[in-house]
Amino acid sequence: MRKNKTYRLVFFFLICFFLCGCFPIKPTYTKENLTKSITALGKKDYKLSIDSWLIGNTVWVRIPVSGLFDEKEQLKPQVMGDLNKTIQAATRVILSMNPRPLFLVAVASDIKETGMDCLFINYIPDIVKFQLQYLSRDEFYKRSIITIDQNAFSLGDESGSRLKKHDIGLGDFLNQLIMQRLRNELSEIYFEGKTWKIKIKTKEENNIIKILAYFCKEYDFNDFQIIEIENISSGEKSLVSKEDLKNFLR
Amino acid sequence: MNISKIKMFLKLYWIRILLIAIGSILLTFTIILMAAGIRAMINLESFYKQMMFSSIPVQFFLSVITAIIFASIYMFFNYWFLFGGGMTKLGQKRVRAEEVNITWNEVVGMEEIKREAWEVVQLLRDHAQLKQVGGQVIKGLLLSGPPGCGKTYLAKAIATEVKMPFLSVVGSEIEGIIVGLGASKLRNLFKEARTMAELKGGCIIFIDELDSVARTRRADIGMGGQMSANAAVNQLLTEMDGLRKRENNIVVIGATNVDEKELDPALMRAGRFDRKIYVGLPGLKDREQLFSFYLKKIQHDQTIDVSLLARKCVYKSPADICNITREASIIAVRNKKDSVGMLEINEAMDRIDLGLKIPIELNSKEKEQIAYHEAGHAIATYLLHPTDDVFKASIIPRTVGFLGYVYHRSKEEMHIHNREYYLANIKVALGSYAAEKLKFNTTTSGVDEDMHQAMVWAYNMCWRWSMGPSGLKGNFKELEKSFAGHSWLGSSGSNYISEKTKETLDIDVQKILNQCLKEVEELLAKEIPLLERFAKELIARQELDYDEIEAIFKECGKTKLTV
Repeated sequence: MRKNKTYRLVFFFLICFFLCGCFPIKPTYTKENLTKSITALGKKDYKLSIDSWLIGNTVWVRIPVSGLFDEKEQLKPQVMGDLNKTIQAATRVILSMNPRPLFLVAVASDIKETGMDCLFINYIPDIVKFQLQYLSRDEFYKRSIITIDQNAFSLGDESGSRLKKHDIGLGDFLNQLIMQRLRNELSEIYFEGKTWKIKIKTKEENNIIKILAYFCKEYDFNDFQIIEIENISSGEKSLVSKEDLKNFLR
Repeated sequence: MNISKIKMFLKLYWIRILLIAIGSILLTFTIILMAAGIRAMINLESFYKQMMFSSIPVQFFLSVITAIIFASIYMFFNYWFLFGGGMTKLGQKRVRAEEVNITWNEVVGMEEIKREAWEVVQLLRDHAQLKQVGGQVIKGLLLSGPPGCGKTYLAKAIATEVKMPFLSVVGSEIEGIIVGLGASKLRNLFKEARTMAELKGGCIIFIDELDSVARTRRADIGMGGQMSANAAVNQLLTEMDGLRKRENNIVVIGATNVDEKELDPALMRAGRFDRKIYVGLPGLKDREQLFSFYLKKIQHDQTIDVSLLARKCVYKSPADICNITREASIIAVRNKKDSVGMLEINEAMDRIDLGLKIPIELNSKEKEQIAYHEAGHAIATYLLHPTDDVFKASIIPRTVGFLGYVYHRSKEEMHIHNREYYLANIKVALGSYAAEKLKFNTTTSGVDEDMHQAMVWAYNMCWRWSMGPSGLKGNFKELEKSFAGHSWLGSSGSNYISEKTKETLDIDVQKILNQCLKEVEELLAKEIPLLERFAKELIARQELDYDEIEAIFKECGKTKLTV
């Protein structure tokens, strides 16, 4: 009898041991203390003064820097390093909370020289996938949007109050991502109601549709009814339905 | 407690103290590291904590797989080192009794030796009973004798009969290039034997060519080689009868071709190799048995007379007889015959005794010279030798006899010879010289080997066996050897025999040679028709066998000298 109990106990502990990854763990951070946690973590672990905001489902983090570019007109290594640390601090907090926001925007604002902002936009499920090594580093960077806001609003803006913060939708994110990837082939991409309007410069439509199909599948994006592709050089228009898009990948 | 006590304590238990100290330090560090790890784990953010817990089954699975692989490798090497002997065991043979599988009935051609060996088998089988009455188990059995006489075969048969594990090793494999390797190999061998003995109740170690590891220990001359050999002997001595916590039923069977005197005396004493069996050449009956045994294994003509073969194979070892039958079967296949006949056996014997034929083209003059040369040998043997028969005469060049030969020997083994025997040998050797001189009035360089043999016999007769005509007594050769000092460069050459004695002995040698030559010359001069007939027959047929030779002598009215 006693032996049976011991076996059961051992069996129970073994099951717990092997299934401990399946038990829910209380999130370290909450939505309420998100911005404070990022600022505190940045100060404590990375020695950075990070400002953060939560707008809808988008977390904005910002660090003020003195000058964005070097003589070769490339991002300064110091800025790059600080921006990485900022993303790391924000990522640590975002990943350890439940539910998670959807987008992370990291901004380096040149408050001293040009007033320009350098923005890194990431889809948070992509960050999770990258952390769990479902995405390669190369693919992860391909899925990050890097833009420079050339309006000199940030000049002298210590607190980040002039930064145009807004909630990012998946559709807008995809538009920018596709635009970034097909900069030479696309002229414009936007939504008009439920119509996804794409203006192209090239005759190679197939390549563009392939990319669209890939991103729609990867991001499970269905918030449109039809895609209208307009070739701006010939003026020809063509329509692609959701079904056609799905079939395109087969 | 005073300081001397502490010092004593430290001196006695310093290894334990050191190990405990190292263990404590390691344990402390492990605890600190574990505590730090647990703390870090608790402080992890929930995402990373979840990630870590989720990976535990996979990590555990990988660790188990890795552990199984490493444990298997470790166990394999452990087993190899413990039971396989490890690196030092490479090249050694390990055979179990059931794998040896040579039954007692398969050991033929050594009846007397088998009787002696059976006693040993009985003692080994009844070791439990022997222990009960307070007797000691046999520790060593030395099988000595000429090569090819079945020492290894007998050892295997003993192992089969006793039903003990049988570990076999060749002495030459024990010694190695590294000093101490021999001793190490022996240690491992006995270690394995002890394990086997514990598991199976006993074990037989068979060391073939024992002389490689059991020669008399000597001082090292500075190169280290002798030290290594001495170490191996010492190890063997210790393993066989040294300080052991527990005695096991291990029996060492050693086989050697060298004389017992050349082996280390300590090994030969009671308690080590306490039993000695001389495995010598087989006698007539034994040879008959051997031929019957080996012929049974091949398709052969049923009319083959094994007693005739046994008589023809005087001084042949069992290995030689086995080789003859094997060679005969090969010749039979080559001759496209279904079974081995007397012809094939004769050819096989010629091939083994006299070597292969050499394709040398001799001109007629050379053939004539060789034929008379061999005829001189044959007639001298037939008419003057008291014990030997002429079995074959040939002028076909072979690797052993070179241009020609007369094959003669006694019909039965002889272990001691008298003066007449040696004189007859000298006369037979000089027969060729006398025949050449008589026929051609000159001699050839073909007598080179004959003169050498005649001289050796004459020299030994005078210098060693007191058979010289001057009547000088004593073994002068042994005297020279016994009193000569040894150095790095060999004998010192000290002289203990007077020049006069030496001169007399040399004169004796010449007297014997001249007297023998004179007698042979007289005989051949008297038997010129026989010489001519024999030589011509030899030129015509190239080879004459026993029956043909007998026929020639009978035709000429001659009978074999019998004593």
